[in-house]
Amino acid sequence: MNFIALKMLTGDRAKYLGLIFTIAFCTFLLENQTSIFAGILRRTGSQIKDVTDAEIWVMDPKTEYFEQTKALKDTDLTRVRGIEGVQWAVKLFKGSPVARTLDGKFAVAFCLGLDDATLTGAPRKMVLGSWERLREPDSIVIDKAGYALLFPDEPLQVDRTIEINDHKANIVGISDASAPFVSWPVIHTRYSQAVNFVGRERTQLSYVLVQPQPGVSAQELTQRIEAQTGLRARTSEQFQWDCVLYYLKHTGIPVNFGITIAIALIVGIVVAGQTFYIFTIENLKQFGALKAIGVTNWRITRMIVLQALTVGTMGFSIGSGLCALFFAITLNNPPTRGLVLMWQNAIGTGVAILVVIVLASLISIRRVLVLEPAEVFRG
Amino acid sequence: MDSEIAVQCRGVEKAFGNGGGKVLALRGVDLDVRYGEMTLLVGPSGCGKTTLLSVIAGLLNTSAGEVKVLGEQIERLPGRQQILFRRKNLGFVFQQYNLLPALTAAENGAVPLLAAGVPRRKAIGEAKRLLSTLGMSDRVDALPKQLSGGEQQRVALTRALIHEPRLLVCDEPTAALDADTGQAVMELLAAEAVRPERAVIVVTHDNRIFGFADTIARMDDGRILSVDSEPNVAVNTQFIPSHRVQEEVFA
Repeated sequence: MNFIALKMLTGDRAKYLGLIFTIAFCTFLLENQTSIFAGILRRTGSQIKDVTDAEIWVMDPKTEYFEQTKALKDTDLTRVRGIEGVQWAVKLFKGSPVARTLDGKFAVAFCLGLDDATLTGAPRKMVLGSWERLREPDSIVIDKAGYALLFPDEPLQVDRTIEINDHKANIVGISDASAPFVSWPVIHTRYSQAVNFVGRERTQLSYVLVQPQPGVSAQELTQRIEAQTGLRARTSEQFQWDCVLYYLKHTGIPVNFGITIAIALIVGIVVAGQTFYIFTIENLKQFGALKAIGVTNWRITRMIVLQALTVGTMGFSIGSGLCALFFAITLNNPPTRGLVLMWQNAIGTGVAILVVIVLASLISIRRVLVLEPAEVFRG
Repeated sequence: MDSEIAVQCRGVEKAFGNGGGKVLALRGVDLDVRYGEMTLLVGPSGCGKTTLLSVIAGLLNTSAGEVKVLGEQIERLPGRQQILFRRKNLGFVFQQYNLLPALTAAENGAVPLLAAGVPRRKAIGEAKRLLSTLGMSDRVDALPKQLSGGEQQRVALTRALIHEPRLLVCDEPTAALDADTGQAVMELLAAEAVRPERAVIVVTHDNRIFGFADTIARMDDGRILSVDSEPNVAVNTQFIPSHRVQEEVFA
C-alpha cells in the first residue's frame, strides 16, 4: 500500500510541489536564521577563542563580557602569579583606538596588546607576514577583514603604514582572526605599543591571561584565584559563554531572531498543515473507498504518515541544501565570514520540521479516521 | 434451503439521529439474497436502498434486527475482524467508481489484493488479466481521467472481483452511464460476477437493467414492498428519465 500512498501524493503535482516548497521554505528560514543567530552570538567571544595559549582569563570582578573592561592594577598580575597552581600569568590589553590609513580612511578597531616578552595571545592563523615580527618597533598585525575595510579592493600587502590614534604603525602581518561581534578591524600588537597607542587611563591592564600548572584544572584554579585576589577568573569557555549570555540578556538580538524563527514555524505549520489537510480532504472519497474495501485505519494512518514524511524529507533536504548554498556563497564575504550552517541547527530544524509535519498529518489523519466508510455510497 | 442463502435480513431497522430529529431509514426489513443470483434492490430515492446495502456490507450497524452475511452476523464481529471479513468476502462497485486518480487501471484493479498483502507485481498482473477478460487489455496503463465512464466502471468491476468475493454489492452501477454503456456494464456484471458460489446485490432505480435480475426486491419508505423471484422483465435499453422510472415501477 506504500506505493499507493506515494502515487496518491505525487499524482496531485501542484499540491505535492506546494507542500515541498513550503517545507523547504520553512527549513531554509529556520536553519538560516538560527545559524546566523548562533554565529553572531559566537562572535561575541571570538577574541577569547583566538587566544589558544592560556586557559584562564582574570578580570575586574564586575566585568561581564569581553568588551566591558576596567583596568586592573599592575600588582594584580603579581598577585595572580603568586597563586599556587599558576604556571605562568601574563598581561593583556584591550582597547578601541581609531585606525586611519594615509588616504584618510579610518575605522574604530579592536586593539589587543600582548605581553611584550612572550607575545601570548598572538594570532596563530596568519594569512601573510609573521606574528614574530611584532617585536619590531611600531609593528602591528591586522586581520584580513580589517585590512579589506581599510584598504578596499587592494591586494594584501605587509609593510604598509597606518596611524593608530595618530601614532604611526607598520603592518607586519595579516591574520585570519575570527570575526568579532562588530565588523571592526582586529589589531594585535605588543602591550607596551598598545598602551602607547591608547594611553589614557593610569593603568591599562585589561586582562591577565593565566595558564595552570600541569595537573591543575582550570576550573579549580579559577576558584582559587577568585578566592585569593577578589578578581573574577573564568576559563576561556566560561568567558565565551558569559559574552553570549550577556548579549542574549541585554540586546534585542534574541527578540529579533526569535520573531523571524517564530514566523517561519507558524508559516510552516499553517501552510503545510493546511495544504496537507486539503490534500487529504480532496482524497477523502478515495480513502472512504479504501476503508469500505477493507483497508484498516492503521494502514491508512501509515499511508498518511508516509506521505507526510516524504514531503517533509524532501522539503527538509531541499531547504537544507539551499541554506548550505547560501552560507557557501556568503562564507567569504567580510561581514558574514565565519557564519556557517551548524549541524546543531540542522538537527534542531529537522526536529521542528518533524513536529510541523506530524501536526499537519495528525489533523488529516483524524478526519480520515472519523470518516464512515458508508459515506462512499452517498454519491 | 438456508445453505443457499448468502444474506439474511430479519426485522432490520436503522435509525439516524435521536430524539426529535430521529429518522428511521429502515423499518423492519426482511430479505433473503441467494448465492448464484443477481438481486436488484429497487425503489425511489430516499427509500432506504443504499442504507440497506451499507448494513449488509457491514459499513453501518443496525438499530434493531439481525443481518447474517455468508453465515456471519457481521456487526457482532470485533472491529478489525469485521474489516478483514469485508476485505476477504465482499466486493464493491460504486456509483461514482471511486477509483484512485493517481493509479493506473491495473493498479486500481489490484487494490484489494494489495490491501491483503499480495506482492505488487503479482497483484497488478492479476488485475491486468482480469481487465483483459473485461475487454480492457489495451487500457491497463491508463489513468482514470483518460478512461470513459464505461471503462472506469469496468476497472471498478475488476477491483470488485479480483479477490473473488462471495458477495458483490453494487450501488447504482449504471447511474452515471449512458444506455449502451450501462447495458454493456450490466452484461459484463451478469457474465463475470454471477457465480454459483457468489451472490450479487445491485441497488438501482434504472429500469433498463431490471431484465438482468434473478430477484427484484422493491422498497419504499424503509420497507421491502415485494420480492419477485421470477421478475420476467425484458432488458430495456431505451432511456427513460428516472422520475418516469419511479412512476412506472411504483404505480
